[in-house]
Formats: sequence, structure tokens, C-alpha cells
Amino acid sequence: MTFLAHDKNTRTPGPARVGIGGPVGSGKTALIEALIPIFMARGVELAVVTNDLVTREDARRLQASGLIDPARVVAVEAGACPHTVIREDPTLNIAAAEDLEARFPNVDLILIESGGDNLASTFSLDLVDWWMFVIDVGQGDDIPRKRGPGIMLCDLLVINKIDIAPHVFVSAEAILAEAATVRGERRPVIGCRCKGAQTQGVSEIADLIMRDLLFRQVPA
Amino acid sequence: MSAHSLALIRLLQVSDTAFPSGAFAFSSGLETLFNEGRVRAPEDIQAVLVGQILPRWASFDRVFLQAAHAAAGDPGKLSEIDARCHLQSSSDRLAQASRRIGRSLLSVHARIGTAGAAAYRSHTDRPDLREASTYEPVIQGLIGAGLGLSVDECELGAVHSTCMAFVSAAVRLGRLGAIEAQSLLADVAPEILATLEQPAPQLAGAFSPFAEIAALRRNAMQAVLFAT
Repeated sequence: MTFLAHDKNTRTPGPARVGIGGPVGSGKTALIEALIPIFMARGVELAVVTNDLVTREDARRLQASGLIDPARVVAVEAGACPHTVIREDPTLNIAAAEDLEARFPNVDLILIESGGDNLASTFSLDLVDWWMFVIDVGQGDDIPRKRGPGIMLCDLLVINKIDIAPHVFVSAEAILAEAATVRGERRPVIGCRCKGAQTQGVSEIADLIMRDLLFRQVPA
Repeated sequence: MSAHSLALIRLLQVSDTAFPSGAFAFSSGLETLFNEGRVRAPEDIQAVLVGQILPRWASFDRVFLQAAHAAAGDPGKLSEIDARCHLQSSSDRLAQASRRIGRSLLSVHARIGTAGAAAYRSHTDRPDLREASTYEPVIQGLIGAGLGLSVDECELGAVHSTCMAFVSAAVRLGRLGAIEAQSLLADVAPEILATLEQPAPQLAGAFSPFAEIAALRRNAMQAVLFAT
């Protein structure tokens, strides 16, 4: 029996894909809500894929937010496997991103939010070009110390809700310093507050994506 | 080792649950059947597999797989087979699931260089075909031919994937132990063989209302882990 010739076809150039992972309740969706207006103000065309674990809550929340055309937000069911759908078998997310690319040919950036997961969560580089991991100070000041692939391997570690640190009896500065130590000099860590009148760190995250991934000038 | 052994090695590779196809996110109605209390015990799961899932595969999916295997290399004929599958799919949710799995499989095989996959992916990127093509059995037939598998081997891989996806959904729903699942699959093996030994019908048709209606019925009040 003879084999037909291979016709390998790797991913074609398209919009940049950014993964956003992290534990349940760490603020992944809130961060996306805070990033959308910043990217839009900078002329970046966006779309979003969410991976809700048990409902379509995150997708519906973004679709109803008024921040983005609801048609640019799609939900992918995770089949009880939040790890699998972004790492071992990311094909449903790849298909969802490809569908968005086909429907919105001008899209520059697709944000792919994972379902809430644990510290071992990582993204397949078949699916994303760059990914961040979001933890929050309310989970305890020992989270960076526990390391885990999510914390150690992500392109950007976001430590969210730094404004609530005093209320949960931890030091945001100490958590940020320990995170920077465990990750080393070359892997960035940003402290963030994405809700309320005074946000913090969100523009820095957008700057990093604009510069490192979209290769665009960052506003001074 | 012969070229045929190489084809069998590829069959094992693409039939493994580690092969990314997206099938893990679909339960073929089992999640609803559990949530509604219509399926409870391992015996119930086996009964649904043997009485609903396998017959549906044999009388519907198998027909399109065989046709696609024969038409591999001709995107025009393949899209005609896809169109027939589309028109005969009465359950929209199951049809959508089949297209999503097929699309995922096609995308992966295009990336790893399986013959015919990239060409058919480009063909079905047309806006008028995107919502009416890449059904799972059509893609399985096309891929099997591209890997140098006979139609019988291709069917074996496809029915194995169908059974594994269903049983692994039961495990992740917490209603079947991992070892119980293997015992169930061992029990069902003769049924699978008997299914494969029967000739496929000339015309595709399906009557598995228990599972099909369950896949359509979603309770908004309950958590939903699976796409079907």
C-alpha cells in the first residue's frame, strides 16, 4: 500500500492570540473587561473566546457588557477539562479562533480566557502566541512561593486585586517581590487592580501586549 | 514491517484519546440523561451505548464515512457528501457537534500533513460551506484514505472513537469509574464487532430518539459541562 504525499500546512499568519489563565475568581474576566476599552481606544480590533467550565456565564457577561460587539465573543465548552481544552486538546479553541478570524477579517487580537483552573494550568503554543496567568492576593501570600507551571511558565504573571491586600491581611508588595524572585528577572510580573474608579496596572498589561506581540508603538 | 503496518501504526495514533480532536467536550446527550435521572447506573450507560449510540453510528455516520473514503482526493465530491449529511441531520445540536469535531480533526490533520486534509480545509473555508460541511464521518473517511487505511480499518477507528468519547464523558461526569469504563468497553466489544460485520445500509438514516432528544434538551438551571 502506498502513501499519498504529505501536504503539511501549518498555521497561517493571522491575529495575535493571547491566553489568559488562572484560578477561579482571580479576575480573568474583569481583566478582559478592563483591557477592552484600552485596546479599542488604541485602534486594536478585538475578539474574545471564553472557556467557561460549567456555564456560559463569562461569555454572557462580556456579551452584555456593552464593551464589545456580542458577536465577537464566543464560548467554548470545556467538557469538564479546563486543562485539556487549552493544552492537550486545544482544537475546539483553535476552531473558535479560526471562525472569529473568518467572520472578522480585520481582527488584530484574540483574547482566549481559560476556565478557572489550578496552578498547573498552561496554554498550548499551538493555540496562543503569548499567555498570562492571573492570581489574586486574596488567595494567600504563599501562591507565588508554591510556583507551579502556571506561575513559572507564563509570559506575564498578573497579581490582581492588590487593593484588597490589607483586608485579607497580606502585603501586596511582599507578594509582588516574591513573585519577581521566583520568576527571575526576564519574566515580568504586574500588580493589578482592574475594578473601581482607579484601576492600576491594566495599561501596563496592554502596553506589553502592544509592544511585544502586536509590534506597535506604545503611547508615551 | 510493511507499508500496511505503518498505516496501522497511524491508525493507533489517530484513534488514541490523546489525539486532539475536540471530542472530549461532547457527551451525545449523556449529561442531560444523567441530570434528569434517566440514566443512573453503569448498566444504563451500557444500554444507551449499545441501544442508541452504536446503532446511530452504524446506520448514519458509517454511510457517510464509506462514501468519503471512496471520494477522498476530490473536494467537490466530498462537499456533496457533506451536503447530504447536512440535509439528513435532524438534530441541529448533534449536527453542530459533528461539524465542530470534524473541523477540529481536519485542522489537526492539515497541520500534521495528512494527505488531502489541507486541500479540503481550504475548500470548506468558503463562506457558503462553513456551516454545512466538515461532518465528522466525512472527515474520518477522508483522513483514513489519506493515511492509507482500508475502509474497514477506517471504520474500526471511527467506531472506537465514538465509544471512547461516550464512555470517557461518563467518567468525567463522575457516573462511571475509570476501571468500570474499561470493563464496560470489554463487554461491548462483541457488539462493536457484530455492528462492523453487518453491511452498511445503502441510504443513511438514524432513529435514536432517547439520546438525540436528550442532546437537544438542556436545562438552563443546571450546570452544563458538555456541548451536547
